[in-house]
Amino acid sequence: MPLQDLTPELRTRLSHVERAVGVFVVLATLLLLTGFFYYLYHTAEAKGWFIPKVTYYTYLRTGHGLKTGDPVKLMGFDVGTIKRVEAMGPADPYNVFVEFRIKRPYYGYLWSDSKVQVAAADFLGGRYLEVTKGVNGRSTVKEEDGRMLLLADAAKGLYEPITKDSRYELEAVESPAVTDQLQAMVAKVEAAIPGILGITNRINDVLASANVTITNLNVTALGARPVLTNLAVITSQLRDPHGSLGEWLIPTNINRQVQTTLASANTTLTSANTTVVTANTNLVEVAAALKRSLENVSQITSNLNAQVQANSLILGEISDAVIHTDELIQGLKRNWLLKSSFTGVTNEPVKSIVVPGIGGSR
Amino acid sequence: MFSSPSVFCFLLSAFCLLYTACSSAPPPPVLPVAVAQANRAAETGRKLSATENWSAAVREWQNAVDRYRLLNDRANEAIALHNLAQADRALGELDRACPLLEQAADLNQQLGRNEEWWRNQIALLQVESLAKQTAAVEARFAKLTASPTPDAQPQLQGLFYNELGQWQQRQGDFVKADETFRRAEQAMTKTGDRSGAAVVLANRARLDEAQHKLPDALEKWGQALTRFESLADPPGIAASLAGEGRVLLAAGQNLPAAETCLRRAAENFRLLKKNDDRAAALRSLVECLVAQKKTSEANEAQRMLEELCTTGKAKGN
Repeated sequence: MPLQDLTPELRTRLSHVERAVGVFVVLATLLLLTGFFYYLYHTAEAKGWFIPKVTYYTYLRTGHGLKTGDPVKLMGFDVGTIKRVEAMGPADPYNVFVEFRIKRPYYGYLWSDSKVQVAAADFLGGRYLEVTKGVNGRSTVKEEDGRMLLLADAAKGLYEPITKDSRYELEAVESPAVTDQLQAMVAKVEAAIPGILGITNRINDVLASANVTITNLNVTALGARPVLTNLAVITSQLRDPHGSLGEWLIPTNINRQVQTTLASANTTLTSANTTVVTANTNLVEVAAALKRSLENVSQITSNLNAQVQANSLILGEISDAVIHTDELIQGLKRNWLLKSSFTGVTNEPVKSIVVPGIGGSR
Repeated sequence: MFSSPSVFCFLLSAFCLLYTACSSAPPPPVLPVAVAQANRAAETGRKLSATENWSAAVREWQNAVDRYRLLNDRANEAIALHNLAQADRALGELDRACPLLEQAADLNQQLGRNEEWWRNQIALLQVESLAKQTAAVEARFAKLTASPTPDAQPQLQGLFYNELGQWQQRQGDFVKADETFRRAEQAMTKTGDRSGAAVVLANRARLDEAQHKLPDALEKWGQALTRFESLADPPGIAASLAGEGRVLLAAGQNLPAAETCLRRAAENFRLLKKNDDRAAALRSLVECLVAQKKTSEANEAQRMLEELCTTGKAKGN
């Protein structure tokens, strides 16, 4: 129905309703916008959009494991983020350009002698930037009269106002990649192997000397055999009653015993020779096994070293995780919704202890 | 068009309400380090006393006394002194326990802490009774009976009447003792102190035993044993077994049952390191075995008794 066809009373009433609806919609929109802006403001504050930041850059050999948005650390805190990781030109002496921003107040820790360290972050080859606190240099950023000034000449101590394109270069201390470290470790092990082999060669020499000694002993024993034969001849002559001391001096039984003893001595010497030869063989085998063991130990230690090098930060990160979890739980304990779940049994106040006694031993 | 903003408004209001309400409470205030250390020492002492680790408890309570004294926290210092004295008493150091309890009582009197003062006095009564300081106990009872009893504290009344009943029994005033034990039992029952009520029942059984009311005594010891078993109270169980055995022996009925009770009681007292009670149980056991003409077993029990007495004398020296 067209509006003109309505009665004036209906038109007036409809006009009031429309006004009320309009006011309500405006109010609702205002409330919605207020909520949205509050949310926006809160998010911006939480994310640090209002915090002043200063841009720094550095050059690295490789950009492996680094990407835009990764955190930059200082003394273990997240103090900024990586903004740009770009490869340099083919003719440039540097390989990779990395730009990052440090937020207030952490840029105050960065002086002209601060360094950018690149460390391994995880098992998967990830890396992160860590800037070090300055010690002897000049502060890279200065705040004067509400203006922020960036160090332009460290030697002269000149500062310039920070503009949109201002950035400060920090020197990078790039630890070699894990693979490079492993390679260096392998090289060290290779260099160490001649030493180990030298030791084994010396052991071999010692064993060879022992072998020669045993051979000499064998020869001596063989040389002693004619002596024994002569002794046997002499004793046979002595046994002869004609032209010798005769049986009254060396009786038959003693003569037999001497012969038996000498035969036993010969057998013993032969056994000793065999034992020494066996020992020689065993020593050679032991030396070979020792060499293999030393090689294995060398490999194990090199692997262990590589693991430790790659995971140097894992303990710190586990510790951080435990601390953060504790903070989370403590926060949950205080939350109005969850705190009733954490009401533990509290110790009752300590009182004077008196218990009734059963009569008897008194 | 109309409903959409309403839904938005509702959601927004709900969000704002939830956001405000979900905010966390501030963390609780942190106690000063010295207070926390003193409280920790007292708490550790309490746990050690509860587990009957007396030598360690003495050390911790002394630590708590020193720390509270440094903080000039006299109320807690008095509590720590009292509990230190109780640990000393458990170690048999009665000469050390008495002055400590006196100190605690003085502090509580200065502070006007009447209930704590009564606790100190009851503990002093127990220690002086153990030390067989008859004159001191008599003087203390005279002082305490003249003082207004802590009516607001039935538990303290029960404890006091229990001690008073035992004193009256020792003095041979069985009628008064019976009345006093009844009042003690009523007070204990009123506070719901099952352990205290069981102890008073055991003392009443002992009173019946002293008056040669053997059937009553036997019944009460049986009830006391049941209560101590339900409370898992080893000293009470051992005392009830010994009492039951003694009464059966005195009545001359069911001597094998009496022997069993006395044997178990003697063994329990050995485990609890209560040598006086063990000696009494062994003495009754010897009598029981002789009555049953078990000569060799009686000789064996007699030998154990003599060995115990010899050891006790050696330790006393």
